[in-house]
Amino acid sequence: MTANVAVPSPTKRDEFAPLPPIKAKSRISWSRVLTLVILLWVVIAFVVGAATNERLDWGAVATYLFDPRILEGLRTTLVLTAVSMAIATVLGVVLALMALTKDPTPRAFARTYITVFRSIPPMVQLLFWYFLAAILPTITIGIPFGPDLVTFDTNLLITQFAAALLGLSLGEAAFLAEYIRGGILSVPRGQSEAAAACGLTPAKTFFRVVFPQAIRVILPAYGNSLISQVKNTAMVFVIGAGDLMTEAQLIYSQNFQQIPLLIVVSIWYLVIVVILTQVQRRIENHYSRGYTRRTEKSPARRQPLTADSDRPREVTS
Amino acid sequence: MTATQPTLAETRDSDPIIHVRDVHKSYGQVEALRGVSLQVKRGEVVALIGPSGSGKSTLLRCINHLETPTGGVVQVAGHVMGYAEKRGYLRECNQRTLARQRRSTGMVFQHFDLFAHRTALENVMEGPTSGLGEARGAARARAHELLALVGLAEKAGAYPSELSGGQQQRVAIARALSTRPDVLLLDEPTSALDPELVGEVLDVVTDLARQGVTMVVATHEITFAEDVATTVYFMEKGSVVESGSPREVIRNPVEARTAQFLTHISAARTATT
Ligand SMILES: Nc1ncnc2c1ncn2[C@@H]1O[C@H](COP(=O)(O)OP(=O)(O)O)[C@@H](O)[C@H]1O
Ligand SMILES: [Mg+2]
Repeated sequence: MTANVAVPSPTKRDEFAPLPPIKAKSRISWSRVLTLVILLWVVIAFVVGAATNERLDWGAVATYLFDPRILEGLRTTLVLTAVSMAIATVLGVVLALMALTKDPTPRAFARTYITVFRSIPPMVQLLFWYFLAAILPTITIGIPFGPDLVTFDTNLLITQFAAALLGLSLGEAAFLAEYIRGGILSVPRGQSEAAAACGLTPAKTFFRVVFPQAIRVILPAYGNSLISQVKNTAMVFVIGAGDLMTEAQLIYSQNFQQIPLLIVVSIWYLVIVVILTQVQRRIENHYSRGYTRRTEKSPARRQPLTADSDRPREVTS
Repeated sequence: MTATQPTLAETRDSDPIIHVRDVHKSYGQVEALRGVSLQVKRGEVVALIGPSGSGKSTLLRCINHLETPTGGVVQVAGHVMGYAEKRGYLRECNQRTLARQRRSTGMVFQHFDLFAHRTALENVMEGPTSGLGEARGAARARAHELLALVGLAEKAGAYPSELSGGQQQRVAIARALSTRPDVLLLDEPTSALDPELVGEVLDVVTDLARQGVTMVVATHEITFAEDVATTVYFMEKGSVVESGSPREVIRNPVEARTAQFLTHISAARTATT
């Protein structure tokens, strides 16, 4: 069988041997029906089981979902996520730029920072900053072996919230720095040369030409990091930083309704992550400007095989 | 400088607009330029010809200091590129000053290098707004004029990925003109194009030359060089072997190496057509 038999040309049809008529494929796929039945059964069994089990106190879930303490914890979780990501992003950009300069000193600094902070588990970092107050009652900024300039009381400086922020953002910055560095490197050198040739300063070149294009590459990894970070904030309950998990734990340590409260917490994390995923999709679409042809709105739309573009390429003299 | 006319023909003085003085450039062991000197006067069209690797791109990139020469200096429109005078000495200048000096040149690259995340119009507006600090309104109006000049008025809203190679290169030419440079540097503007698209780009370049735009063009299009150039430089292994009018260099080359290169390239041309 040769491939050209499948595409009979209307004008030369007679030159080919006649084909048997084509019968359309059956619309019902039995394997798909079977998959549907099995998965539906699993889901229904789970939902019914969960709903009818009295020990899972759904009444308590409903009561605590909007409990003021839980909502206060939710607020803290959101603030922790937002502020720690903001710090990590700025620090990540700075580290990425340091790692990319020709100057060996900032490069070595960035490399060391990234290695150290990527290696230590965030939980350890969190506890480290929290207990730092115990061993270093004051932090002094001054000239080494010289006079002191400022002295802070560590216990005042490093509150639970501050320790949580440090623990969550310093390590995250190391990961983001690597994503950002990769994104910047993915922008072809010709782009920055063209910008320089247009009279843009290196700073303008970076912010107007390189970074906007790097963002497109960075965003998927960044979105994943943000979602991980939402969940990482739950760790701060070990230092009692007042997040969603801390509040839930405070409640169930008194009334022993661990499961309903953990369900409440899970529901809130699920809501946050679903919303963030939608936002991420929107932002990714925005930054794919110039990379996806706008005429191809839906990828499912079939293009005729012969037309290479749906807009005719005009001839200009 | 005129505000609205996209033409660049201006006769301020008869000084060379570009003065390349004994420029050397090495990449480690590789000597890409071994002491090149050349002068370009206002309104002149200089064609750089020569085999691949002869240093044409490096020379163009040294003129606008995308590459820093390892020896010699380049003067463009009066300033010594990459240097600023301070108390009677020339000192290496900062990036901001260099960016300002670069505005006397516009560059067209072999692979277009349009800003991929910006439309054709935005590409042409970027230099005037972000580089020169012009108001967006004025820059937009001028960008529309420049796109019309290269025959792409109706493509203003298209992204580079939606344009053919020839169209992209014409937008790149408009972009290079957008900062009102004194001289246009073109590095093999048609080498990356499908043969049928070469003509539309060469037509635009020829038009600009006729309007008196000063340019330096590295090219393998010998016929174009012969028609449009006022001076031709033949380069080989980082040196200028021969220079003169197209009639001298292309029709009656003195140097054997020039003649050899020209026969080689015309043989290649007849083979493909
Ligand atoms: N960035 C670079 N690093 C190392 N060698 C280079 C670089 N750019 C150019 N060269 C070398 O310099 C020589 C001249 O190159 P080029 O100016 O690109 O020539 P042309 O444009 O005439 O083809 C070549 O031998 C090339 O390999
Ligand atoms: Mg070249």
